[in-house]
Amino acid sequence: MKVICQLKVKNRLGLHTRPAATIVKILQNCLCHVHFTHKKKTVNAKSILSLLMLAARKNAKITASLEGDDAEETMQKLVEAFDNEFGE
Amino acid sequence: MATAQEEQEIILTGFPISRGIAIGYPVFLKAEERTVTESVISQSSVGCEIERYRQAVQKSIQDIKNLQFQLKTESALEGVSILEAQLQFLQDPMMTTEIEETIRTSKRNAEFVLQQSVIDFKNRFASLSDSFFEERFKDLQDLSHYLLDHLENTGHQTSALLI
Repeated sequence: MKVICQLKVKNRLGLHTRPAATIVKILQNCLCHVHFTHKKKTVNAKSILSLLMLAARKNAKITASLEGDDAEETMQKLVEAFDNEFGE
Repeated sequence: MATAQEEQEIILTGFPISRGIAIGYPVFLKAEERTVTESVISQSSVGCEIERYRQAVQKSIQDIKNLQFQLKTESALEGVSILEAQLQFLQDPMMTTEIEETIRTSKRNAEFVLQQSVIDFKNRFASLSDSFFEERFKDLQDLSHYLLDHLENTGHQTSALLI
């Protein structure tokens, strides 16, 4: 199953170290492949270094592409994390 | 009753080093360039070299987990979450499988491969043209010093684990 969704970075400082760590933790045990695309750059979202190198500021729009059996439930968790501003 | 002189506003000038107010002693850490020797390893030693790197990563992970446990007992939750990010750096595929693969293909010692990889990250972060994100490289740099300490088996940690 493949799920694609656009996620908006809502927290003040953007996808800095702690939000990136939160994303990686969410994806740690998921089975699907997850890629984020921002400004024509596509990265493996399970890598904190790759996420930081997206340099996604507040209000940045990220296209999340998930492929695998648990893609839908994983996307739901990602949407919640972005909406909750990663608890910041 | 306060005198007019005591009520006068005091303006201190200086360099802001972080947002908000923090009370404590500032510590200046001198960032020293590490000298790492490049060594060619034989095909038969590649497996051992990769294992040596894995052990250094595992030791660093264990150190961070121990520190996390200590901070939890002190209810220093801010520090716990910062250390969580450091754990993610150490388990990042770019720091694990990619470095192991480079050791395998280049047949160079783990210290050298790690340092070259960190230089590569430094250049990539510097090219982001966003100073805030460029600064995030420093988290990785601190960790790489820590990893190098374990690799070099100095017996004592010369690099502070920064949180």
